[in-house]
Amino acid sequence: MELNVINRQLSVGDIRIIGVGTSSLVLVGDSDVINCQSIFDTPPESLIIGTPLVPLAKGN
Amino acid sequence: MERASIVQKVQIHTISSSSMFQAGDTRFLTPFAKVIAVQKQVSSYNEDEHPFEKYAIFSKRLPLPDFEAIQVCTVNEGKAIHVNTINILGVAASSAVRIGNTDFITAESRVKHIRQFEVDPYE
Repeated sequence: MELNVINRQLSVGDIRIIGVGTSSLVLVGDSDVINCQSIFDTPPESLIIGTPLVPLAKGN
Repeated sequence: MERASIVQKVQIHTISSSSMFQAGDTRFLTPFAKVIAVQKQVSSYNEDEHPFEKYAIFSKRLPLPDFEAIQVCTVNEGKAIHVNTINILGVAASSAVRIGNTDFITAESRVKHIRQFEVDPYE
């Protein structure tokens, strides 16, 4: 498979962004390879009720 | 011939937690973020209460997307990318705002949320 790209005029007016977070990107320019991966975890057991076992203070 | 990027005005309010704003060309960019967000009813904090090693999410190997390498032929008739203004409030958690060309980008973020209550809020 072959991909032919012809870039002509590219002009953007104003860009307004509130937040760019956790390995996100705002790119103005060309890129060859962009590989984004994210993993997010908030399972039921991540809801803890009651005080967890507080680890003993380190030997001082 | 690679295109130039021309931006008239950039306004960024906050760049925090290993994030960056960069103008110019880059070969490799690998932003990586590991986040544990703990919401607690009791405002007590113990430094090693939630180490990264305790949770598999931070060591689990993420499967790479399998892609087929294809032949790409790019012709840049337009010599530049023009942007008038860029206005960003916040850039956080190893994010990047880049003006210019970047060859290879591999971005990864791992986030774990923990909510800790004294009394069950759902009863």
